[in-house]
Amino acid sequence: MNTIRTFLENMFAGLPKTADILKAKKDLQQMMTEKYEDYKNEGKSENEAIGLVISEFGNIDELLVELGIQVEKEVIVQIDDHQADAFIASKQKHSWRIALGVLLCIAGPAFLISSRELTQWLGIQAHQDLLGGILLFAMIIPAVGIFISSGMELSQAARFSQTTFELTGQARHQTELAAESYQKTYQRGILFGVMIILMSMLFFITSGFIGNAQTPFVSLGLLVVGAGVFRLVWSGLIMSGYNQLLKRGSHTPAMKKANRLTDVVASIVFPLTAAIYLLVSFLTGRWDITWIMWPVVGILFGIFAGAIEEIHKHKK
Amino acid sequence: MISSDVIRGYNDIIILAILAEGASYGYEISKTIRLRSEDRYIIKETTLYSAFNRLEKNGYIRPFHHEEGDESRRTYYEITETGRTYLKEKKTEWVTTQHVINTFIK
Repeated sequence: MNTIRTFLENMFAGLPKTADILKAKKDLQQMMTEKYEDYKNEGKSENEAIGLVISEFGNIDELLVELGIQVEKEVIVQIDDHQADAFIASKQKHSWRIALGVLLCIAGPAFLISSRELTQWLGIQAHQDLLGGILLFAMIIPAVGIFISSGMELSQAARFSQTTFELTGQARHQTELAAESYQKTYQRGILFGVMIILMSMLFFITSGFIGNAQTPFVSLGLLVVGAGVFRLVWSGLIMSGYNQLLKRGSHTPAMKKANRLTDVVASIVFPLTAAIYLLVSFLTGRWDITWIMWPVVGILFGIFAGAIEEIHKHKK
Repeated sequence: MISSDVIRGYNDIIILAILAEGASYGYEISKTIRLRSEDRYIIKETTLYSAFNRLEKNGYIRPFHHEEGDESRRTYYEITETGRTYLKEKKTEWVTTQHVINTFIK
């Protein structure tokens, strides 16, 4: 008796509690109970009777169709090995382009700062900021182009991550192997990137000691930073592709929520920083120092993203 | 056992035919089907309830309760006049269908 009620509770769980549904549930329970009693009277055991009643219940979907109820079922997108391959290939193709875009964004100001020295060195007769300005835009414009086109292609390739997806057995196996073999390259890339960035400090420190003719050293330092960042972004983006497919790291369902907040903040903070950076730099002409905004904002943002991630981890 | 796919189109007529003999309720109809078919056709509860719902919507059957206001007891059904007319039409159709199928499957 209770088994029948529990069975029906389960079958009807998650359905809207409309009058039609409740009546159907009540009438079905009545029918099933009477059938159960009857089977028992025929001499069937309790278990047998329950088993028969439940096996003769039928299919709840049939009833729902008749009552005009549409049940939304979560669609799980299957990703097979070809799709997984294509996604990683797209990540590989665009990760170094995006890394190049970042490098160009850092290199542009580096040329601008040393515009005067560069103009003299090349022996060009022009305003001291002209050459640097041209080089800045010659680098920023393609960089923006890269960000837009690669960003669009990557988000197109990662469309599946907006839905609930699942790797097929073959795809999972293959991706895990590929991720494992990439792990070493990744670690080397990160180590290399960080080392280069640390090395750049030498240039900045030197420029601090020299005093007057300091700007070429800042420029060189920036170019070296750019090279390090290039390596970090390149490796990081490819690894994030594997993590996205395998739902690891920051791509577990819980972390996805944290990421969304971080993404929103990032989409405000970075363009704003870029605007302030350009505005302040053009107004003051102090390109030699304004770049410091970037590492400061970067580090603060890193702390923010880390904190959000921790908070979400602990909530779980 | 009869496959439920084959008999799907006839559930409504079977139920109407039983109700044409007098008012009845869910389990009794289910049991009548099982007994008369000598256990060869056992109608599923969801199939039966879906049919009640459909027939009632079409005005072929009418639900009622024996005791006024006692909603917790079983729901009885009786056939309506429209239901009888419909059943008669379907009977003729069945005779034709049977005849046609018989000419192919012997």
